[in-house]
Amino acid sequence: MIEELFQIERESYRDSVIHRLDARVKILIAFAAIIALVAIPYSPMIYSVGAVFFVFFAVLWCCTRLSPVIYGKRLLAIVPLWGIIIFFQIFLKNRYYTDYHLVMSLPLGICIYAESIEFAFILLVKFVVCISFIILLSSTTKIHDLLEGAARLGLPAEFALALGMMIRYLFVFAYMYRKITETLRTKCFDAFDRHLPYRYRLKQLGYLIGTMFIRSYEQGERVYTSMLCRGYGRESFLFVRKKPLRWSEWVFLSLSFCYIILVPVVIGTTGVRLF
Amino acid sequence: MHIMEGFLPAGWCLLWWLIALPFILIGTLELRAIIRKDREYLPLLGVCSAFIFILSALKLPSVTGSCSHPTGTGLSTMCFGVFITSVIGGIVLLFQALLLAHGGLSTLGANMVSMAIGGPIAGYAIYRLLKNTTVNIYITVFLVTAVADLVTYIITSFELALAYPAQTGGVFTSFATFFAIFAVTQIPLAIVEACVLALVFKYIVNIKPEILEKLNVFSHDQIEKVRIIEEQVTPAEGS
Repeated sequence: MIEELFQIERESYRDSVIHRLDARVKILIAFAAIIALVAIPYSPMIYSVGAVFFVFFAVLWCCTRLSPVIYGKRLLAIVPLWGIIIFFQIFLKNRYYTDYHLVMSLPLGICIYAESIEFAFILLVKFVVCISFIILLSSTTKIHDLLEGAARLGLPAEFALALGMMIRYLFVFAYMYRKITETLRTKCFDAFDRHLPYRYRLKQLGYLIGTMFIRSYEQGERVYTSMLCRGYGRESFLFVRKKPLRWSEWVFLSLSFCYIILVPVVIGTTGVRLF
Repeated sequence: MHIMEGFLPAGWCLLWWLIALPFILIGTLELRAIIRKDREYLPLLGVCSAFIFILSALKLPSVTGSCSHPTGTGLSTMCFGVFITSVIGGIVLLFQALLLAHGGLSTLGANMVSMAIGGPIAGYAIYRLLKNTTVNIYITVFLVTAVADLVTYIITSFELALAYPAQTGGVFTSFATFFAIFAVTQIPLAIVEACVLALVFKYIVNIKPEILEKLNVFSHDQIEKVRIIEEQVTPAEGS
């Protein structure tokens, strides 16, 4: 996950139309798409809505000039674990269906039903499309822009302050973690090497985390002292200057909202199905 | 393990958000009071949040062969208590959801209830119960971390079971199924995480015990007691 963090930050520093958009616009579009997808009831209608939303995402992704491989890699890093949970749904009956049709009967009384498979697919579509919008947001927005955007959208000052502090230290610790793990690697230590005694591996990991904690604490103290020297005081809060959206951003945001709201409404009311 | 985006129906997302909000509100008020009283806590809070973020990114090997990451809330609970941990946990979860797509925005309320509120409450109860007793501080750390971790996964299973009750057997059957899926990896991992955090505390006690005193995690006497025991044990091991 730490390497992923560096990779995401590198991607967000590239340049494209989407990268240059105000963070608020991207946050709001991601929020709107997720809310719309979550609000859609568990029915096959989600296949059509999901497909149309995914086309929207794909167009935006093409505008970012980022490789689809990047998207694929990030998606693959997230999907497997929850893919297992989704996969297990095919063996379960749930309250969203009344009639079940048996597809396959397995030993130990385990059965696979057509409706359960359909439900698992519905979950998968919701999950993948929602995640895609988050991947788009994080791949095209710098962390500090994300924080500023959130603060401008009304994130409480205490939250923004603590989040800002966290971001400030995050990469310091990530670099520290890299250095410590490199040192351990030069000593030929691998936490996943099964030839080493398990207790020894755990002890080394415990001491590694302990070192990080002490170093981070000391770093925190040093930073605080230097902040005091620069006039930091009781009334200091994160300053986020006012920045109105450009007219082109307003137009893009409005059109995106119309698309996100109208697609489920039209598909729901007209009964049009793409699949 | 956080519940992913799009996994919970809208009604349940809203309900878990409503349950989490009072804790976040009280935590924010506590945080505001602390910041006004002593600004020194703020960088420390940032440090702890970043530390939890990095800790939750660190993969630990499990005896079952799988691997997962610690939740890190045990440490925060002992340092700052339940409400501030709920804010720190909320910040970490929000950041993970926005940046890494781990967890989600719609499921943030549910994830906060399990990881940033439920787990820490159980861990804090154990901590308060054992803090002023003669129980070894490493055992206290072990129990707090293990309980906070396990309760997190019990609540996560419960949240999923409520959203997706089985047609036969209802919520209970569904809960048993979800917990069985988690238990294979999470029970050994809760024990591993607890062992690792106990070792972290051992390291801190040996290198810089004043941190624990300053944060009022354990008293000077308790720390000195374990140091004396360790000093007595170490020469015996050497000989």
